[in-house]
Amino acid sequence: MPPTLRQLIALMLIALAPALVSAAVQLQWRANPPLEPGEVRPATARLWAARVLWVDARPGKRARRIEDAVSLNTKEWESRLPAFFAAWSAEKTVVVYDQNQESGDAANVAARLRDELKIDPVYVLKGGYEAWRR
Amino acid sequence: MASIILRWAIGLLFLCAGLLKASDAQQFAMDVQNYELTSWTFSILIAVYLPWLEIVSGIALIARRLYSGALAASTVMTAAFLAAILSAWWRDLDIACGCFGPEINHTNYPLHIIGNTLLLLALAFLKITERRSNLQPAQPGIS
Repeated sequence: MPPTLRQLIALMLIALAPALVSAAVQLQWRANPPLEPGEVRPATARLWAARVLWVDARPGKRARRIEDAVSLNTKEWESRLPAFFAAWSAEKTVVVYDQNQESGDAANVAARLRDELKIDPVYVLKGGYEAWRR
Repeated sequence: MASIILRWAIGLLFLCAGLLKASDAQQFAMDVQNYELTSWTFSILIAVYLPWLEIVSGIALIARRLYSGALAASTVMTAAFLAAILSAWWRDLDIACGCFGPEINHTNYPLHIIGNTLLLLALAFLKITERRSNLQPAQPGIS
């Protein structure tokens, strides 16, 4: 075996021990579930900042929402659409959120935006408004 | 002299990059997944292991132990990162690079490509100087 390869394997084995310890200590496997297709994490959405059109899919009035978010939900779909289209442009990336993704409101609104209005791209905020606030 | 400075600089670079990422493996896993090249499970495996390989390689470069292997590991890691950056740029992804742990900034693709290409050239230079020093005959002792 060439010495370079032998040394490389030795280094890889040396690195394995602290990596295993680090994994055992650090990773909370369920704390951050993987992204489903069409989802975006808050940190990534923050990066997109100016080109994001936030859509609040929570029905009813909300005292707190993401700044400049447009309210659009399936219950008040028709009445809220004009406000959505006033804010939307083709350059915008739409990110829909609800409280914490448990209601499925954001996924429903995102699906309707994609399927009925053919808007693209549309993302659902991973973890919803609660994740954004953390 | 130039090779010593380069060896230390690259060693410290890998050491720092590894330490910053190893301190928050979960965040690094998300950074890896943002490249959309790996599954979540594979992103976690990379996030757990890669920083430590960087740390070990950095220390090996500085200490000049397992030197040839450290050069090979550093070269492979840099080349892989360069390929990932090129791929992300090609797909017009707007993500944080994750090079030095958690960052909330947009990746400057041209800057990263230039930086990593220079790093690859520096590693190649170190490999060449290592080969030359291995080929040189031993100095006869003075009695």
